[in-house]
Amino acid sequence: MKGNILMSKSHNIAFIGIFTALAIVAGYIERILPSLVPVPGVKLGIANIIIILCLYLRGGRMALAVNFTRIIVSGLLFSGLSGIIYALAGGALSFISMYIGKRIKIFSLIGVSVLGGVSHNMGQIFLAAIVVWNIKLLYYIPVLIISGIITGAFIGLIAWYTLGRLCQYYHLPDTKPMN
Amino acid sequence: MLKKADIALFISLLLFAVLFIFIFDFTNINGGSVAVSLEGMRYGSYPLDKDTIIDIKSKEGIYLNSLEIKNSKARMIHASCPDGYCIKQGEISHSHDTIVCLPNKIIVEVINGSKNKVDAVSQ
Repeated sequence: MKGNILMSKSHNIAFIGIFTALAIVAGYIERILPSLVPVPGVKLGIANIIIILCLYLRGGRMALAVNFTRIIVSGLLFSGLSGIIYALAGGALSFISMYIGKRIKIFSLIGVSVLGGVSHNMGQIFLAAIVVWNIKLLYYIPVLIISGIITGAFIGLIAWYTLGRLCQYYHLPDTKPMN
Repeated sequence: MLKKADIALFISLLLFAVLFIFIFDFTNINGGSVAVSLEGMRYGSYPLDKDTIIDIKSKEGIYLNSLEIKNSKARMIHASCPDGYCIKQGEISHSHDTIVCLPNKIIVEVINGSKNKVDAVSQ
């Protein structure tokens, strides 16, 4: 179903509610997982699976709503105000990159996911470098780029297969992904 | 599943990461400092990223040399020694580079500076 995918208000509310909850749980799972790499800022980004699903199922506006809400709630629950600020920095850059990446239609879902992963890390490290006013932090950028590519591809793969199954099992017009 | 643009994205990101490493290694954003010793004893340590001029004086307060740190490099701009070889030694910025003023017994060495082509010297 191409074109206008805005559904009824109650549909949107329900959609945002479900996916925000999923994203918060995803963030929680990520917190529980032991960190394989001691470098600050290297994370899997499991919540991005949900955001990508929202982006491809219902478009940028809904994905933005889910992303923003889950960052705030997740931060209030787990990481505190400074956590929220860093997550917003990463999430904002990540969302903009993914939205633009999807709009210009040259990337696959995997590419969009990698864009999201790398830009999320970049947003966070830039904010950190400003807050701490130390340029040596920028030394981390190469590591963050490489880990962003790897985790982005991995997350993108998961999102891709999930999206495929969702569309396969629910042959309803409103679950067909927008392209 | 993967498109051409994706591959291009991955490659350009990787190239950028590698480029970044090179830029950092060669422009000495790293910092680093010079350690100055007088008559074999530590005189002081000065960061290379702050432009300053250090007047080196002996224990008795006699003026000896002036070391200038500018643009992440150090050089001797004035010396009270008769030959002035230390000034002729020019600028140092790489790790293990030194400026030596033998008559005044001053040694200036770069610590933690940008990578030197020679990393160790066997003796």
